[in-house]
Amino acid sequence: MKKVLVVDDSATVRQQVGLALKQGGFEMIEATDGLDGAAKIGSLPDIGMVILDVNMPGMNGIEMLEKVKQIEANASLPVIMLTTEGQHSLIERAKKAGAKGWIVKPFKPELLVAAVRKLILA
Amino acid sequence: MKTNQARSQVDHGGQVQQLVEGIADEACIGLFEAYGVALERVPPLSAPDHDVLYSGVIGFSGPRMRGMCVLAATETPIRRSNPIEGPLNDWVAELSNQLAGRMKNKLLSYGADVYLTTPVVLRGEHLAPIPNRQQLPLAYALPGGGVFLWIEFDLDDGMSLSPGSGTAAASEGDALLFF
Repeated sequence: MKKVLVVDDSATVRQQVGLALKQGGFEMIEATDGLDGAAKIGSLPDIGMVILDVNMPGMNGIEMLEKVKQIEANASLPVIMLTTEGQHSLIERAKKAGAKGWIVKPFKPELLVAAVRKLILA
Repeated sequence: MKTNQARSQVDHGGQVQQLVEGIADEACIGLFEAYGVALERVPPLSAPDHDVLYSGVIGFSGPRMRGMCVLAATETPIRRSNPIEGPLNDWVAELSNQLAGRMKNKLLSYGADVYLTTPVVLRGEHLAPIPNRQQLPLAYALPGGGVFLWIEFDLDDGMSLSPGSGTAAASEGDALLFF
């Protein structure tokens, strides 16, 4: 099965998401910021979905999303934003860039796993 | 001697500070509650200050406005709210980030569109920021620990915060899927 790339600068959040994914039967790959996340998408062929934070040092999540989605091979790669941000202009920007969902932290693990299942198996 | 204009700026600043502290208070209680920790608001000086404190600092900046938020806590509320058994300093940073995010989302409805910096975490005893204004932190107690919150928020002259003048934001726990 394809793996889920979790991009967040918080190790706690990555671990929390990883636990939820594991319980849902998914494997996780971690990245600590947008640059790391974009590099892993470019180099690891078994990534089937991305869960992406917004506020991160270096390259933030919106910038990473826009960069990754400019590459044709990633056009169908599903991305869910998982962030503290709830600003509609940011949500619209992510949607326009190709994000498939936006979840405001704190997240409900079962909701996140249901969204992942729906998108990764689509 | 202060001019009338200077006096009105101080009054204005005080009102803004009070409003933002109210937003921060609600955000802090809601945040810890979301992670299973009930906080009780207490007068600042009655809260414990002798334990090792973890502090997360986040800056706000936006068009003609700026501020900062310092979340400090003893080990107990940090450990109890941590959803996993991970490093506490990382969790303090994430809590600060989520606190500032809640505040930002609320401030949007008052017409304040701010950018958040990424959090910086400090650990030590008797930590306290040196704010521009003389102020005591918002303080919260729980069995075996305390949480403190310093908030500073300034607007340039001519700027104001008005309820309903901005846009609503998505709330904590909201999940939007685009199909």
